[in-house]
Amino acid sequence: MTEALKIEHLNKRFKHFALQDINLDVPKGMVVGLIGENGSGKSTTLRCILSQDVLDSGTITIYDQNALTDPKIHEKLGVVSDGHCFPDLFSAKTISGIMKEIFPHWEEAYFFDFLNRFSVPVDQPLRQLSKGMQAKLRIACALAHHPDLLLLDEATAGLDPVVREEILDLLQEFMENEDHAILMTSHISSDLERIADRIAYIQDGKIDFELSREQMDALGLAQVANEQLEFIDPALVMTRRKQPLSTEVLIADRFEFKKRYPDYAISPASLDEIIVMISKGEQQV
Amino acid sequence: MKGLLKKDFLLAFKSWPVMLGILVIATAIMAYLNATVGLLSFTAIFFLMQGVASIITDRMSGWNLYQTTFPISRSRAITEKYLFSLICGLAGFGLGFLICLCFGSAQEEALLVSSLLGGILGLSAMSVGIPLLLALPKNAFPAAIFAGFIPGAFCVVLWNQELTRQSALVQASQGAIAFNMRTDLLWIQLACMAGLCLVSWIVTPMVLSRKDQR
Repeated sequence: MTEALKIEHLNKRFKHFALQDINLDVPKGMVVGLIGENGSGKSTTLRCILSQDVLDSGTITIYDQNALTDPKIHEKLGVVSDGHCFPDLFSAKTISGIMKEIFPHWEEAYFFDFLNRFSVPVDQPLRQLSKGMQAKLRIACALAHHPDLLLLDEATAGLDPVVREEILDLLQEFMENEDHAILMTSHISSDLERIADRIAYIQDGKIDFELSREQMDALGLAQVANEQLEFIDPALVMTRRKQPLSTEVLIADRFEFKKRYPDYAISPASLDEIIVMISKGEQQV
Repeated sequence: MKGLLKKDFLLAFKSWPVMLGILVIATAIMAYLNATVGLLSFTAIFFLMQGVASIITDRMSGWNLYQTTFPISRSRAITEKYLFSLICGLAGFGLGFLICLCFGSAQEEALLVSSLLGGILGLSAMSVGIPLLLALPKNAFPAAIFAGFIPGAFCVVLWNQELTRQSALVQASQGAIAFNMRTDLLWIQLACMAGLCLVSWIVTPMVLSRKDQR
């Protein structure tokens, strides 16, 4: 078994939207980012993993156990979303008292150490905590029962860069254990660029493409004049996009491109650029 | 389930000043009207509704979604709401009984009627209110709360009609027939509400755990 999470042929139909034949693996020791436009199905996919939405068909296994029929597997799960999840009258202390009755492996010392490390008050009700503190509290709750798999749904949304950086450091610490894995959705591509080993792009309820870290690092964006385009080996071109005065070309191997076309300008493609080029470009992957 | 119960009790305790205030006002009004025996049904229903209404708090705070990340099945989480509501209702009943004793409202039949009415309306709210609050959209919460009392209210109306009939009979007989509070009818209605509640307790977790979580 190498997958922490395995989704096979997931189908879920709603009135105006459907997840169609979603297949996604999150291997142990890897961080997989699930990205897509608003309404593309990222959060719905996570809801299906948690059985919040009941699948029409398909299977979901977490560490080889059926996630849909065995709630006990959630002991291995830590979930962080960007929304509220606790009554705002509760303090961190109260929450810990509740969670230790729910999770057999809840470690109070770890929970309070974590909050202390990030200066989150333990006695104040949640409504008095800032957004950043609440986000850290949610992450503390996700980590304090020592999960193996983290599901993060826009966990860093709306947070300032300093807090986001702290949280990403935490996630990298979590990944020091090679049995751990993370599936995260985010609109903040810089977060995914920093931490993800693989990206899956979802659009209109379908996984359009997946890219490994190596593939992403090799991608490059070249701005070429329209007349220069015909000289570029099509095998290197993933997709292109016509602009008013030039053409943007997404190159599969920028190192090879640089060797063969030293006079052509090329730069590493950011995740945002990759997504825009692949989803809006003329030639699809 | 222990953790879920703990959370609900802690949340209920957090609102004790409001609950105490309402209880004091209700007691004052009932005492003024010389109807303190009514506190028995009032407190039973009032406390039971804290259990039912905890669903509203859960859905508004996002807890109902978050608890799906726990190693607790959805059906078990729904069952916990019934248990919590029942415990709250029984606690309210006990408190109401104590308050009635303090005021010396110890007329046995009146206490029995108040208890039975409290049980009928409370169980009605539990059996219909809980599934509706879980299944309907958030903007339907007020309607769900009111709808929960419909079966119980129907029972009370029937009983009331029976009392009216009794009253007419007594008047017509010019005292030959003694007025009967028809507690036997209330017992039957309580049994019906208990049956409805039991069916709801069994069926709701089975059905709603197979639907998309709201």
